[in-house]
Amino acid sequence: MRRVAVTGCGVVSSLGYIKKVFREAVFGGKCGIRPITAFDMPIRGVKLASEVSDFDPSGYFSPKKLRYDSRYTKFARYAAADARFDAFGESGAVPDPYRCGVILSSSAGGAEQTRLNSEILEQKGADRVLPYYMSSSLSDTAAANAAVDCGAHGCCFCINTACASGSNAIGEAYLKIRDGYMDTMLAGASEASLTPLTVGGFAAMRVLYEGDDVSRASIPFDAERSGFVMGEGAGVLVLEEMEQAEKRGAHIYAEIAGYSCNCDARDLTSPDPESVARLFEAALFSAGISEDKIDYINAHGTSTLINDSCESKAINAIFPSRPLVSSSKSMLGHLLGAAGAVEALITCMAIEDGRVPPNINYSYPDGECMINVADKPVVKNIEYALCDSLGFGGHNAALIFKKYHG
Amino acid sequence: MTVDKVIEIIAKEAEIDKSEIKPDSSLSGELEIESMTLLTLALQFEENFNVTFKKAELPLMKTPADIAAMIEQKLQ
Repeated sequence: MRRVAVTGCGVVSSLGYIKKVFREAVFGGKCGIRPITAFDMPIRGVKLASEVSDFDPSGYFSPKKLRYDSRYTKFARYAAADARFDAFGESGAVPDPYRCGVILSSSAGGAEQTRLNSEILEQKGADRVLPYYMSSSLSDTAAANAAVDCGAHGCCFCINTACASGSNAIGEAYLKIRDGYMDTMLAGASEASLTPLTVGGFAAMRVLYEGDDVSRASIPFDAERSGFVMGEGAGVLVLEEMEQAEKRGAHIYAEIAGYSCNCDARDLTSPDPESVARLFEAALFSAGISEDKIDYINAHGTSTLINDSCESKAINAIFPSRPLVSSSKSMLGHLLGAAGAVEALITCMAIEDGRVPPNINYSYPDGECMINVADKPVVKNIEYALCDSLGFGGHNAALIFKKYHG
Repeated sequence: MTVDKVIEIIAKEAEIDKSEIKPDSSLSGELEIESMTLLTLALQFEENFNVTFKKAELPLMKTPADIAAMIEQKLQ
């Protein structure tokens, strides 16, 4: 079976879009959650978000190049370009373009374009809706543009599995290479849906943190947790067939060892511990390892009551060896469709650096979440790490990454 | 003149210096204007001149002079 290496990564987030800055922030336990600036509209008690600020893509793209793009596409194109230059050096050129594919996911696509064009529709009529509304609002546009940017002629698509979209993108890209369909893949996800409509929708579902205390807002697995904080951003990995990567002397962050996905097939918004446990089992089977090999779990950990207790139950059922667990959402909030991609990227960095990113602001253990939470950064050799995402719709996905030993 | 206004609109939307656009410049040829910009321009001509372009007319919008002539005909 062909092995798959992670040879490049790019990220856009509230904790930065320069990899070095992002890496130090995440492993230093910084919080990217702040008062919402995207709009000024009271929505229940929701006041905080994890917004991308001061984003300047001009290092890779002129403003003209991005003028018909929605915010999520700009994030995706930047992260994909950054990952590509990280992997392939100054030229950024992908080897054998017809064997290079792109899977970039988004859950909401160009949400702000829908808002803008809805206003045009109301004020000026349907004849004035912008010609680029469709292409900028659809969730496939990021993948299509990233393919244009590097001339990748292989498979190119977007997977929408709500908050599992990013994990599915990386997992399916892994399979494309492992099974011989492609040699190189750009895989990840992007999300920028901080609009009153989307925030209002989640607020109506009563799943968002309501309040203004940054240190008690996104607190996965804590007994005081009360909802998630919406975030935005993108994460993209370059995956390569191992021999190709080694032959060209690529820098290898980690190896992908396994992938699984399943569906609760029960309730759209309430996760099922049994399905999640089966998800973990299937990922371990895919990687061909026993549960005690997993040194670290980068959990979905949204900070909602039900997700965290359900996920903890599944972790305890499958991992009696009690690996360290942390949720990057404690620092970055919930990037929805992009969450799994950014968290997979963090997991690769954790393996490479030998340090576990913290689950910050964890103060009060919850009897429903009795797992081994890493509340501080921990220096630790990580041979295998699991990263999972559990999306609305009952979409679940898990990836297992492995340390690369050369 | 209509053609001057047309050139002005093209220059702004396509971010091209006005001096580089001649009445007979080919939009998709020498000016390298991509498909989405052409569609956006069509909408702007409609708004600015209060006219409507039919789907079949879009491929005929090849140069600023063509566009100006089409607009003037519609305004008569």
